[in-house]
Amino acid sequence: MRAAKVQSRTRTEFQRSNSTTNAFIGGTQKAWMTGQLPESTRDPSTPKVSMPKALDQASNQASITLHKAQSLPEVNKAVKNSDLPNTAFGPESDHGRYPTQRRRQEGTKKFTSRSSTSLATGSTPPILSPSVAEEDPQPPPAIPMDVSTDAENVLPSPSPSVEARQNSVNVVEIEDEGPQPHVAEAQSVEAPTATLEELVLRCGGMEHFERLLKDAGKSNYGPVQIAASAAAPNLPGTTSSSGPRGQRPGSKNPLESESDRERPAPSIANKRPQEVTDEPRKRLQRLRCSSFEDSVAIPSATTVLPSQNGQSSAPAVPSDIEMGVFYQTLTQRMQLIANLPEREGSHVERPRLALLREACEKSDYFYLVLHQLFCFDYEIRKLYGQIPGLNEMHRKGLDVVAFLLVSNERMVDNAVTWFSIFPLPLGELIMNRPEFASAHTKVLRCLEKMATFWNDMRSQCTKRIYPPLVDELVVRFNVDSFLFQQIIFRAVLRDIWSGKPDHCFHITEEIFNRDYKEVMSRLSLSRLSLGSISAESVKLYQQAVIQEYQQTLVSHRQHTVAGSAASMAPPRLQQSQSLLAQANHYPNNRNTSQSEHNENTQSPPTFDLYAAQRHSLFAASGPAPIAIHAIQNSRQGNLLSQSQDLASNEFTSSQIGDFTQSPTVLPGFFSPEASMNSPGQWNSEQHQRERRTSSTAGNSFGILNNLDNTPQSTTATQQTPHVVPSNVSGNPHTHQLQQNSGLQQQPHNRVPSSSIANPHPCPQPEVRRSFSNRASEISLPALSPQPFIPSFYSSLTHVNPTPLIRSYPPLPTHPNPTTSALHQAHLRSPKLSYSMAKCYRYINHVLMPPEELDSKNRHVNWDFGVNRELTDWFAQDAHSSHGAPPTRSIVPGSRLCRIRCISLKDKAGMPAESEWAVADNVWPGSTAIVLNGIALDIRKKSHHGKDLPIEVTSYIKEGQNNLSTAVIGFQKDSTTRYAIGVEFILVVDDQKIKNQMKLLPYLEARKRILDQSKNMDPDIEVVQSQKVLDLTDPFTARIFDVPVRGINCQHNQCFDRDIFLQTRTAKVLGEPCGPDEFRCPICGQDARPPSLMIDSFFMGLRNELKERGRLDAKAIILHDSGEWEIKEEEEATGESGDGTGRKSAGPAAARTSSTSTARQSAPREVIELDDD
Amino acid sequence: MLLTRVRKQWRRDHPFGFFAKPVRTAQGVLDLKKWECGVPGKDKTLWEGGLFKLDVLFPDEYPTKPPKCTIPDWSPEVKLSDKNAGKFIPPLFHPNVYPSGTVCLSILNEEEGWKPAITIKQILLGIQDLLNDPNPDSPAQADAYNLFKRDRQAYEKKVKAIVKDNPAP
Repeated sequence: MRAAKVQSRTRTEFQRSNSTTNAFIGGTQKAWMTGQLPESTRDPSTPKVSMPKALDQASNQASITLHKAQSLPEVNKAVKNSDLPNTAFGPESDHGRYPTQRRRQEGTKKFTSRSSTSLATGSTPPILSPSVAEEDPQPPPAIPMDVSTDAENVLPSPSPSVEARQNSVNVVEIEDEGPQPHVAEAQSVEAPTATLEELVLRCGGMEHFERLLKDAGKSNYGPVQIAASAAAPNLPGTTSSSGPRGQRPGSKNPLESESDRERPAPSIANKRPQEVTDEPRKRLQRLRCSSFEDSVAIPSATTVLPSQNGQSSAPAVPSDIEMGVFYQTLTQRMQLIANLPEREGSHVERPRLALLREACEKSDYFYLVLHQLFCFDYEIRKLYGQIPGLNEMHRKGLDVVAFLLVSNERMVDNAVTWFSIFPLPLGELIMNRPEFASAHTKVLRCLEKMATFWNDMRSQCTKRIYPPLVDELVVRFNVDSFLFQQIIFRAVLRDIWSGKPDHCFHITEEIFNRDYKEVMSRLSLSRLSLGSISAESVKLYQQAVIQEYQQTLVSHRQHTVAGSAASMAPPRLQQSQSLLAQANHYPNNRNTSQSEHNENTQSPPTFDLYAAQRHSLFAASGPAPIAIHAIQNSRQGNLLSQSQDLASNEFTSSQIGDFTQSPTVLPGFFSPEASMNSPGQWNSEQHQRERRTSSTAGNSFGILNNLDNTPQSTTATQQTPHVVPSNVSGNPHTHQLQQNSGLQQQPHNRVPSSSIANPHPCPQPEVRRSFSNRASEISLPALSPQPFIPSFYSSLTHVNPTPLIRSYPPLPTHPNPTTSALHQAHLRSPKLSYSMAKCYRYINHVLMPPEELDSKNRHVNWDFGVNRELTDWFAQDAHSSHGAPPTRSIVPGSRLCRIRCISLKDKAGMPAESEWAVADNVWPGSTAIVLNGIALDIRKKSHHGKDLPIEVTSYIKEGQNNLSTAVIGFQKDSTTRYAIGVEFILVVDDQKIKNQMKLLPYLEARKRILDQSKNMDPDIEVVQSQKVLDLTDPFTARIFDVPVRGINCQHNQCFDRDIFLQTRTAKVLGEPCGPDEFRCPICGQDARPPSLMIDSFFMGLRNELKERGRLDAKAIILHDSGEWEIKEEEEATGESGDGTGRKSAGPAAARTSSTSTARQSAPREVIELDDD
Repeated sequence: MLLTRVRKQWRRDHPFGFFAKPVRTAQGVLDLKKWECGVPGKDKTLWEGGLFKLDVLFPDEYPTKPPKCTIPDWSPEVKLSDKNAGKFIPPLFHPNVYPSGTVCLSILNEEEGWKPAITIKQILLGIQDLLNDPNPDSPAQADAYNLFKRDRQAYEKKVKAIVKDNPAP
């Protein structure tokens, strides 16, 4: 009965702690309760019971349990038994075999031992168990700390391990306990196969894991960790839900009245049935309810509690509640860790906790599962090897995760252990929470993808110097979790990043965040089919993002290179941000950089102004043309919106050019900073170019110069230094400011500020002032903006003049596609990139419509299915900038698709795959092809030298696809038929090819050769009783090492496997060998890797020759009997120069062929003669 | 190595009337990558009695890539002779020979019929066949092609003249 008492008190305590929960998760709790309570067969009334009653009931139940416990021979023994790992988490086969009794026993044991523990230790921290709470009703805020200390002291007390048990036992409760133990079994059987398997596997893992937990219990802060974990498993059920709350004795308002909390329950109970829609869930809940009494036995399980404050909450997604609870657990844990003294791995652990918390906040199941799987795997692997559910790919993926999250090895063991069961043991999560289950599936897929694509992605990003786009992450890694995306993003960004993360780093992250939101909203839109966004606009969007990244990175580089980071205003990256804002940064810039440079270089006062502007330019641009384009755009936008700026803008750019050319200013301009900085120079060049074009266009520059009474000229030397300051006034940003404010004098106020700061006298401050004054004055009234637009544009467009090629070459039969196919440049196939060793592409299989195209049947409309195994492995494209074709990274195993059309001449029937594979692609006449509603352009021989297949990897989708083809322009009488088809190309590496190569067994191979003469036409009499077999490889003219031949090859000669593979090179440098290269070098037949066979007979010949030391043999003579001899090279016995004459004479002459050494000697002149 | 063997094979077995030999560099060393060959016109055809010189260049990638076959340009004397002065005369008047002299033959096209096992003998025989049997589907020079398509008689007359200009020894 003591136990019962403990129980009831405990519950009180729980209710208090519940208040914390409520405070945290608010309304969500109600939803959860709706999900749970009403179905409980046992206690529909319970929630309604007022507080005291509930207590009574609880104590009754407790006593019942206790009674049960007492019925067991010996509690201690029970504890021992239950220590066996298998009890709770046996694999599926164990389900049902373990009688209910057993579980009960465990529950009881738990209860007993726990309460006794708490009594024994006396000061057991309230967090750990309600029983303790009872003794310390108002735990001090510092409790978490105490807990840990206590735990450390108490250890190895039984309590931790028992609680660990509780954890698992609770899981069992849900999984396979209840009034009908077999229900659980049934459930798991009925579950979708995949989930079932996973579950089983995971359970297998769990069983080990349980043991693990026990170990953990003995460790430092086991109790806490277990308390937290124990909390989790309880969640799903009514009873268990109280668990976590019970563990939150440190609840913030323990004094909150319990009765208040109790009342709302009934309403919740009523709601519940609606929630239970699907059968499995019902069953689950039934299970939970039925296990009710058992859980009561656990002190923490105060069944009534969940009903609290249900009334206030609106129905919400159950997961939110769970998340709330997890969140709480986490917070606690974080507090605890924070209070712990610094220890090994804290620097890993804390950020991880923070991430998890964020995941809870964002309901990021994906990340939770991923992280848990990651830790769980680590734990299991450490002790027992592999989790059976994970294959090599997953393991590799986890290695990547370890790289991203910092390996678990860096943390203390029990920290990992805690992580590995947060929020709940994985098996249970996956089994019971659809959200987690689906997240788990996603995670596994993601891991596979990570394993294959991570290195690629990394190297690619480093190469292209911008971080991955969200689109890429989603597509390549199947990651939709923000957190994990962010983690990947950061990792990659750090790769690219030079120097320490600075302001730019955060800006980059901001861009990423925006990108994420954007992409996610787009994806959800398209998922709901609320409107699809065209591929073009997606592309445009991606390019914009890339541009932003590039700008940021460039400005970052600028910072680091300039070395005056301190004086730098943070770059403004987003084009949307007004340049005005940019201008606002200048004063600072100017002052700092100015003083700095003046000290060093004594540059004219205007230098720093220029520098400031340059900085501003770099803030928005960079050496990359695209970035320049951006700034031009922005400037242009500026211009158009404020047309009055036109003149001055124009003026500015041209002036800068002059400025840089002006000898007097140059020294200052190319101050150490500038000259160190190639981008700076580039920029000046840019301006020079602008100046040139604009001045030739007869722009405002001259006019303004006139106004200033300076000689109108465009040559730099004639430019007097005093003109230089006009840069300042001409600075679009300051100018804009000035106009905005309507104060024409403002620029002067701003400009001189720098010269004032400058200790050196400004050369001609007066002139400058007046000049700029006038310039701005005049530009407003006297110069209508209109005339300047053309010149401005001309300055833009002529920045990178590209000569127009106006030649119309005749159409050659073998045209040079780089010139003749320019108009189809957009049809170029993606560039393939791969980081592995040499790869090969070959046509793995082909799907063809049943009908062919010919002059009578000119239209084919065909549906074909593509299953997921294929689409999953489709190589993904990454868009590249600058109008280049997309980059496609491939790995061994990747699939590519092409549409091809081959000519069947007048052969009947559809081509065999081997015929298809070696046939050239031919487009009959004008071919129109529509694949899944997308019209595809064809590339024909007249422009490309060859009819090229169409790359359609990105257009093929999982499931049904439609291909529709129509041909016009068949010649009427043509009997040629064509077959069109979709072929699937597989990327493989060397090893795979070699491993998969078939072997033609010796006897078979021998028979094949010997039978050849017999198979002949009976009309033909074979006189020769021997045949000559060539042993040379056609590439090297040496004997092969591994003789291979295509399956369909009729000839006997083999070629060398390795040399064949080596010579399979891509047409495009740096790409893997193309799919059309696999033709037999001897007969041109199908020689795709799967069609190649190693001929054992020739292999045997080679081996024997090797033994004889005659690998120099070029041929053998094979007799019908099967015996063979080396066919000696006709070594020219009398091979003197004159002896070689008259080839046509026959074999005798042939015999005289010389060795090369002989040829090198004097008589070769004569050989020459003979050659004629 | 391979080319040595190619040469050996050729010397051992080549059709009558053909020749093929590596050129000798200025230093007197054999350059196995560059061959001079001769293709006789086929008997009983328009081309009978002619011998057409051919340069064969083996690329480094041979035999992965096919050799390049070119009809050498006319000698300066011929080019500058009175009847030819100021005109461009293609190295060989033939629909499938480019003005540059390159022979357009499917087995010599890496994208089409080339196989590493194709021997020099096969190439030269192929060119011999091509002489009398041009492939109108892939014209390489306008003059010969147009004439061949529109005025076969004139074409044949022209061929006969060509043969006369390139007599077999």
